[in-house]
Amino acid sequence: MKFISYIQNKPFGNYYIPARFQYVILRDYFKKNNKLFSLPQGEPIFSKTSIRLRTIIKKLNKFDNLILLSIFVLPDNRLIREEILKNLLKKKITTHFIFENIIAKDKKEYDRVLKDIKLNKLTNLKG
Amino acid sequence: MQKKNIQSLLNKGYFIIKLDKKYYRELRNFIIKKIDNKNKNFKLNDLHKTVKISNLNKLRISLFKSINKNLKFKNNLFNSAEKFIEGCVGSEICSSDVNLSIQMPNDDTSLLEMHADFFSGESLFQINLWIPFVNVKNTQSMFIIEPSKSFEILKKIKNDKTINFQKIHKKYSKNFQWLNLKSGEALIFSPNCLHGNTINKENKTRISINIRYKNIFSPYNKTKNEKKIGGFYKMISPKAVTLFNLKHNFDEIIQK
Repeated sequence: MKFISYIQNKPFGNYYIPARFQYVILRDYFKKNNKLFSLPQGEPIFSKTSIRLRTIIKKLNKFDNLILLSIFVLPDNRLIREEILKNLLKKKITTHFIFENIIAKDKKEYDRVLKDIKLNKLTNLKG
Repeated sequence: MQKKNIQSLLNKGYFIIKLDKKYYRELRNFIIKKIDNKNKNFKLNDLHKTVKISNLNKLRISLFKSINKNLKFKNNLFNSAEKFIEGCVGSEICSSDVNLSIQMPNDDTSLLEMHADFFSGESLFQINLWIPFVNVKNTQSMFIIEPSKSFEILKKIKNDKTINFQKIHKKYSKNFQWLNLKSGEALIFSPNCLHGNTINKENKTRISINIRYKNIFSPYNKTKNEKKIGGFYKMISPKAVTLFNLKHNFDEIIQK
């Protein structure tokens, strides 16, 4: 079961963390889980389609682990976000959301992640 | 800088130079000394014979810190290719930190997959100096895609919801220009062109460094998280008027 991570070079949720420090957090998480750290791949800052994240998920094998800093690195676009979580579930990928301390691997947990993001958006509506 | 270098940059996105020997030797010796191998016959491209992949990240971080703490190393680096850097970005220059890459045979933990440097908010107006400390060829090296093809692919990366990097890799791998360089040579390229590496399938390790240079006064845009001076880029060669305005605070008078 591989651990693969992913970073974003733009703000996510209430956070903005330079790539170098995202590496530090991820490296520490890998270490705590006794996993060999591999360099995370970053999302192009201008991408509207989360192409890097979609590619990583496509390449993951069944039962692999995806390590994300937060639920808010998931795509802003609801349709792409839902599609991504559907694929994670289909491939039985365990997704670790470090900041929220969530480890999602079944439908109930992934649905919770979707609801949390939706609720955050509802309560921060931009006119 | 010669016209052929400019033409090569415009058409292919890069050109290859010979580094000043004195500075190159100092850079290389610094790396070898820091790796601190006791074997007198040690060769950098045999690093995988003495360092395990599981220890590679530790070594990489330790080398990265040593290099970037050492001002002389950064000066030697700049001096080794100064006229070419100035020929590309002008004389008032700033740079990033020095990055270090170690690509051991069959290591899938150190990949830098296809990307352009502005993916992470770096300037469109920078050039990269890439120096391998061993002879490199094929997958031991890096690839670049020429500017017009890169632009074609980047448009898809931006907007096409049906495409992913696997598909792009498959469709455009014939456009990868793998760069063959000898020790003592360096690559200057525009990181706006897509570039990266794949798993090193040669039986030799590549150790290389890279650094980004741009003009202090190149344009900035409104991208969130655009990399700027003070954070990502550090000043190298400010000229008199810039120094004058750094010393005095006339800018405060014209600001609202």
